[in-house]
Amino acid sequence: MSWVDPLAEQRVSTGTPGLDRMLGGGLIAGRPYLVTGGTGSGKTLLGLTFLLEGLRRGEDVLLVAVDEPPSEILENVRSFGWDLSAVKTLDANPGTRAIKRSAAVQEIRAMNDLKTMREMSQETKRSADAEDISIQSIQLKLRQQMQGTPFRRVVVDSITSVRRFAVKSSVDPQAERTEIQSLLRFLSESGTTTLITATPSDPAVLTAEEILTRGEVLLTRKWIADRSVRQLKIVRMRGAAHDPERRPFVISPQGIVLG
Amino acid sequence: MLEGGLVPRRPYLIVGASGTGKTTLALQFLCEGARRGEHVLLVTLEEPPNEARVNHRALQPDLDRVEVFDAIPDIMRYERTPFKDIASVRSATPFGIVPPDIRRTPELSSVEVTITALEQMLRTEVLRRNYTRVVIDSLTALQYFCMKGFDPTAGAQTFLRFLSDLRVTTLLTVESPLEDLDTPERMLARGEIRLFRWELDGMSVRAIGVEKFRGSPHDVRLHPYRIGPRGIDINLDVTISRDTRQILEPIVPVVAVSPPAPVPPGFVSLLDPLTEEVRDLVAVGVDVTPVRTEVETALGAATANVMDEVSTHLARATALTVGLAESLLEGPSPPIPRSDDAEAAFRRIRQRAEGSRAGIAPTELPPREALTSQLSRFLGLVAPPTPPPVPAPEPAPTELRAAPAAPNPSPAPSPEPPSAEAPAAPTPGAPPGLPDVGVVPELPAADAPPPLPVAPPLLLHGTVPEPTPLTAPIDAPSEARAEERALPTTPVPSAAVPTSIAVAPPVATPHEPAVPSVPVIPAEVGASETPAAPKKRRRTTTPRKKVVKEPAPALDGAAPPTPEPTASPPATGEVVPPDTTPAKPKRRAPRKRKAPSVVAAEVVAVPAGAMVERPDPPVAADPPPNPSPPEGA
Repeated sequence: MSWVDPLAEQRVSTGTPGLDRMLGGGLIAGRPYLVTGGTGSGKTLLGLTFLLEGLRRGEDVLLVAVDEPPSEILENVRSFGWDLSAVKTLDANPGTRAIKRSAAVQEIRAMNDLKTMREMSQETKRSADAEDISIQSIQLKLRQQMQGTPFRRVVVDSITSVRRFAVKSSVDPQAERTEIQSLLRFLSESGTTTLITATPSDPAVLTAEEILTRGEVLLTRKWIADRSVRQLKIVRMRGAAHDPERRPFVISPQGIVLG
Repeated sequence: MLEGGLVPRRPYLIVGASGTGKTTLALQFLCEGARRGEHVLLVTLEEPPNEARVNHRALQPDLDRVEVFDAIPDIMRYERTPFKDIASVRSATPFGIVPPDIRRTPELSSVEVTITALEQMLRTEVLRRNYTRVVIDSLTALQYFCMKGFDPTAGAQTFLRFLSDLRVTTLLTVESPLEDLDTPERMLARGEIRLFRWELDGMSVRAIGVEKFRGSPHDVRLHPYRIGPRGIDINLDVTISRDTRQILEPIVPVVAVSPPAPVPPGFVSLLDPLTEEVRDLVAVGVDVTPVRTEVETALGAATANVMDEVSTHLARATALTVGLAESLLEGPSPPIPRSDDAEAAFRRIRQRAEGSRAGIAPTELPPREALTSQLSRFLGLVAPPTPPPVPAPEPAPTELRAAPAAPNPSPAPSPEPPSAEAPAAPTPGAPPGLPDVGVVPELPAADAPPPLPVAPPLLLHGTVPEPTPLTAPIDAPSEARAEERALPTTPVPSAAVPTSIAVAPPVATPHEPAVPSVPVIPAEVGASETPAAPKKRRRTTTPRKKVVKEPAPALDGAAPPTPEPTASPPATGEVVPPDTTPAKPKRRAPRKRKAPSVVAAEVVAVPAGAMVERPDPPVAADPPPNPSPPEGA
């Protein structure tokens, strides 16, 4: 029996050509992946590139912005000349809420409708608008929005911050893990290819997303000889033969360019 | 690396960081079972079945026959929906009929995956489907996502205990980001295989090692591996250093034949620990007949110059010894003879089972003459139970059982020691000195000699049972002796001499020089199982790791190109390996292991007039060996 690779046509391009090559064509569709890196490592950029690639192909894409508010993201890529205005965004950044979080909030309120980046940049966020986020509410919101058309690509930037800022539905750490599991499961069942960014944490502690994601890309930056070198490495990738080596890259107006 | 595979019906762990190939290894284990026609099950808590099927398409067509149970929790509803028990909603299906898309969470209900529900499902399904191999992928996901309200460690421990009771060979994968973490639940596994992934000059290097394999000898070295197109591909010819991450000097492959030379110490060191263990077992009264039979068969093979058989049988002897020790420790409290020796022996047995045995150095099979003498020496040192000396009119040297090597009266080369006496339960009608007549077809049951004297049960070592109860019946039916003479199975030349209980293992027999005084009795009852069995018995479990030598695109891993597969004799210089040829039918050995407990009353059959004074069991000629693990890294 000859086995044709059933995934050959289902690879999803990351938008970064060098990375696609390392992946043997791209990501396998419909699965969640992890992008790990410290601040300034380029993980958000990688996610944005991924979304823009989807836009280029006429797909519906979504950014769940937690680390930075959308306005900041827009700012950061403006120097590259990128136009993110059409990227739908779920603003989950706590912003000024952080100050208000002394009171324990039990309820989970519905979130505002998703807005495009452009719409968001034109508004000033008022504290009163700020709602609390939770993993559960993110899932509910997505479900709501995806009743019509599912998003083909979703980036959650970053799950680390979601964990930090989200309202806990209970003190049981199990609850958080099962909620993350449920969120990723929801996205998989919807056929969405998901990128989740994360900051590396204690290497001895295994996080739920490390178990749940089907692959991981690690972005690092270190001093080699006389310069600071950025490196990308595919830590793991289920079901796909991939380049296991660390590859250097630079960040340029073209985005992440592997050398 | 495991010397033939896993000891069945125990839980094992595969531990490693993400992406090291745990699921692949576990699936290869299942596919091996599927290939043999077994029912095997994957319980997946991580990778959806549709993805697993696609990701491991290289394992087809066996993979399609593996059954998979999807234990991944549904999307949470966050509203009041009835919780359903997972077993009532889902069932195991063969991979072959898994749909290509991910399973969809039902709209109106939510399935909760709990440990209790999983245990219940496993209990039912293992019974119903008779699974012989189960994989839980992964124990970590089980702890992370299915233990609401439980302490994850306690929950995992309970689950492992449950699996031990289930008595199905089970592999559990464990995600472990760090290398040296040893968590409490891991202590409950019978063995653990560790997968490492290191960086070396920016490249990924993979290594595999046996972290523990309780009570069984195993390879203690780290070997590099890669995830090739056919699965996990281990390079057994080299080792890799944990510290330097460098490949070490390749081990020179061992060739079986060498010019006449003194016995290489390695081979002796294989037999010495085995001797120790078997003697301890004998000291506590365990019937070691199966082990002796294997060694006898090995001896026969050596005599016949079928060298590759020798290693197989020796490996099997080792495995059987382990199994006997296990049954002893895990079965009901055995009646241990009350003696310091026996108790010390029992302690040693227990210690060995608790500890992790060091790997045995690679051995070269010595040339045939040396080999046969070594093997017969072993057989002599590990004497089967001997009947008490009985006054006999004409002692015939051939009646001597368990000829110890030194005082071996038999003129023939030792390869034919009369082996184990009948361990079968006595039946009335069996003449003393003969096994249970009812089972040996040739012996007419109509000859109704007096009932066999029953020796104190389980006393199989050299101590002599009370002669009194035995002499009487033996003296009495001297007429029976005459009848025995008439039995076709006892071509004993001397008229008055009763038959011996010697059992000639069929394999070894043809190679015996024709010693007319050696009676050729068809296999005895208890022993009839064992000598006959080696013919029928299949090979032991093939090593789980296929050493697939293929020039695959080296996209991943830094292992050196794997060499060509070598022939079946100890090819890689590992411990005397079972043959690595594929296509082994199902292992029958598990039945063997039950033998000691099944055999209740040992009959120390006494051949009337047979025994000359029985020499004392020989003292160990060699100091107890202390096999130290070879320097692996």
